[in-house]
Amino acid sequence: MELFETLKLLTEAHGVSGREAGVRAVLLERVRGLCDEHTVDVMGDLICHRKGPGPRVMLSAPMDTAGVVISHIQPDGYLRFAAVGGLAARQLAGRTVRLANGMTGLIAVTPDKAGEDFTVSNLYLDVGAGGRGEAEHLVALGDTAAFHVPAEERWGRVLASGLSSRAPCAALLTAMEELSDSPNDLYFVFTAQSRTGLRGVKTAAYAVDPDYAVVVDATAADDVPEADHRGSCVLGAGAAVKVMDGAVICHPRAIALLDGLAARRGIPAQREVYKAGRSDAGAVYTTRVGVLTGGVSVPVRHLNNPAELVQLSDLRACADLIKAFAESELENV
Amino acid sequence: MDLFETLKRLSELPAPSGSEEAAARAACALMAPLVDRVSIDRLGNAVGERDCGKPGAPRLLLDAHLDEIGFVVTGVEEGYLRFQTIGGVDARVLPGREMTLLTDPPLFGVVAALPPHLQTAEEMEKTIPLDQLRIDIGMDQERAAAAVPVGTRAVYRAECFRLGEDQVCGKALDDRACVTALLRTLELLKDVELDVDLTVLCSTFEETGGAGAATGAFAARPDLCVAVDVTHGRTPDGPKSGTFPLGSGPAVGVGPNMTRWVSRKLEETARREGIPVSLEVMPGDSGTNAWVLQISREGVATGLLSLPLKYMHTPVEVVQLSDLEGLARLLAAFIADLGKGGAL
Repeated sequence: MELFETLKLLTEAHGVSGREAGVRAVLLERVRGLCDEHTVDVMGDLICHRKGPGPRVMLSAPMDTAGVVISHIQPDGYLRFAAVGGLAARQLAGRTVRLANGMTGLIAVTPDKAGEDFTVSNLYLDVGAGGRGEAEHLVALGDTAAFHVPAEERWGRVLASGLSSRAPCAALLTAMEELSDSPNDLYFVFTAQSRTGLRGVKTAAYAVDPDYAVVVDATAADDVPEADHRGSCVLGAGAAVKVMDGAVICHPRAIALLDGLAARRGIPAQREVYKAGRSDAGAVYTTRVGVLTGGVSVPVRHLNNPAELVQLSDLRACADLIKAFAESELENV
Repeated sequence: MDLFETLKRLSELPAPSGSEEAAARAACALMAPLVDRVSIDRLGNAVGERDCGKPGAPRLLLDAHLDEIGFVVTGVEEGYLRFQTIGGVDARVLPGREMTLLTDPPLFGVVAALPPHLQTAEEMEKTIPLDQLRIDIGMDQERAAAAVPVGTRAVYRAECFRLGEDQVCGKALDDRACVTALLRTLELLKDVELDVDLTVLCSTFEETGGAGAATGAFAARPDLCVAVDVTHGRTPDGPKSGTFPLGSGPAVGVGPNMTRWVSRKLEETARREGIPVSLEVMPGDSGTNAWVLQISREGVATGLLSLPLKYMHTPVEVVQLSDLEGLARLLAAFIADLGKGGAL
């Protein structure tokens, strides 16, 4: 499938941290036939195993997005909520969000706080319910909602909600689909609860017990007006080989392997140092006796905003580099 | 073993968190004559093991970390390097500092500093934020970009030298002074029969959260561990509580991060051996590898010994050799007494 079509499919799916069933179902459809077996673990991670004689290699991408979770239904039908995955009140106010059942609601600020500093407790969600009865017909406590801007492509760039997790998933899925022979014992893992603190990947990595891991995630593109240069990546410069983020310093051998593969196969690549974000790699490298962990990141503009932006050529480079790693002869560790 | 020469050799090596290979190799070379086996594991930990030869003997893990705080290059602008920090760097002490960039071969750099003549009175009062600091490597944009890829690490460039009669000054004495103390401990125990198996973990990634200790302990499966790290030495401008004068001996950690009987046994051993010690009471996270070691697998009995050190996380850290020797003697006596009669 074309990369844009894959992105469209994945960004349309619901999957706020802890409620990843929607996006997992979409992924499950696609991975059938691409692996020898697949399981869903207790945390909700989708673990796909493609057997091979070589070292165990885990390739993972987070599938959950940030969002909100309904915490209270008022007698007048308005909904109160808590933020999931670190969204700030100012990012939520005045935005529409979509619930797992496809219904849209608007997040508004209570009038007494409009124009002032406010927190999530000053926000409410209006889904058009006239009272508690109508609201309860539409939602239940614990239901989640997320930003929803449908994917649009122009000039090879894509604008959509949720790209910071779904673009990495698209890159991983594409690599999985295009993979030829591999000498390695491969695990493709789509992780749950990355945005609540790298939690799904922790149990998945413990179960897989890999020798090598490559974590696919997003990194902030630094090419915006008045950039603070806390990150090192830009849109269009290719797959970002992770050196370091706020949760991990990658293994020197993993960095060298990825750098070398990119150079040999002519895959556009850049180096990522991005301390403000925390990728799943932070939980993988400390698993059991330690995992030789690297990362391939998709540069994403406007990270954690209602819409995010990626360049398809970067996504293509990421898929190619993940595929190259999966196919490469790796020394036993 | 010459304590100063060993410390100088170890501390002058560059080993920021995640790039500890040079220090790990040196630690292995120094440990090799004192243990049965040395190895470097997946996360770069240098591991020494000594077997006591008694079946079913409990295992004691001693930890001191190899890594130091450092820097990572994030971009090149007009030939000057933008950078981020690795671990707890104090941005106030950066302007005018010398750096070593871990390219092959290494390059020298200096952190750009605006002369006082060109600063306004207001600017002189303020700390320059990290994102405005640059490393100058004396190259133009084209050459600098080719010589220093994004992701290149750097450390402070500093010589290790004697300060006064018994003190030593240099970079990365946190925690290579304690690696040196562990080597001295092994030397003191060389001809002593033990009732415990020993794992000496010269660990990586302490300054970024303890990943090396976590994985090293998982692999070693110890019954008991002692983390050895630095604590704050007393200085005229610092607080009186929670700091320890250099020369007052090592500090025994007391608190929830330390298992009560281990703290008590360390304190009793010091008293018995006539080694001066202090008690350091910590209400929660000790800020050392003891924090992750304690909860490895099903839990590990944990002790903490700390060496007083002045000017932590600067390139002019200072320790006193008599404290280092005292720490090694205390630890050796503690270990020699362990496991007598089978149980810890």
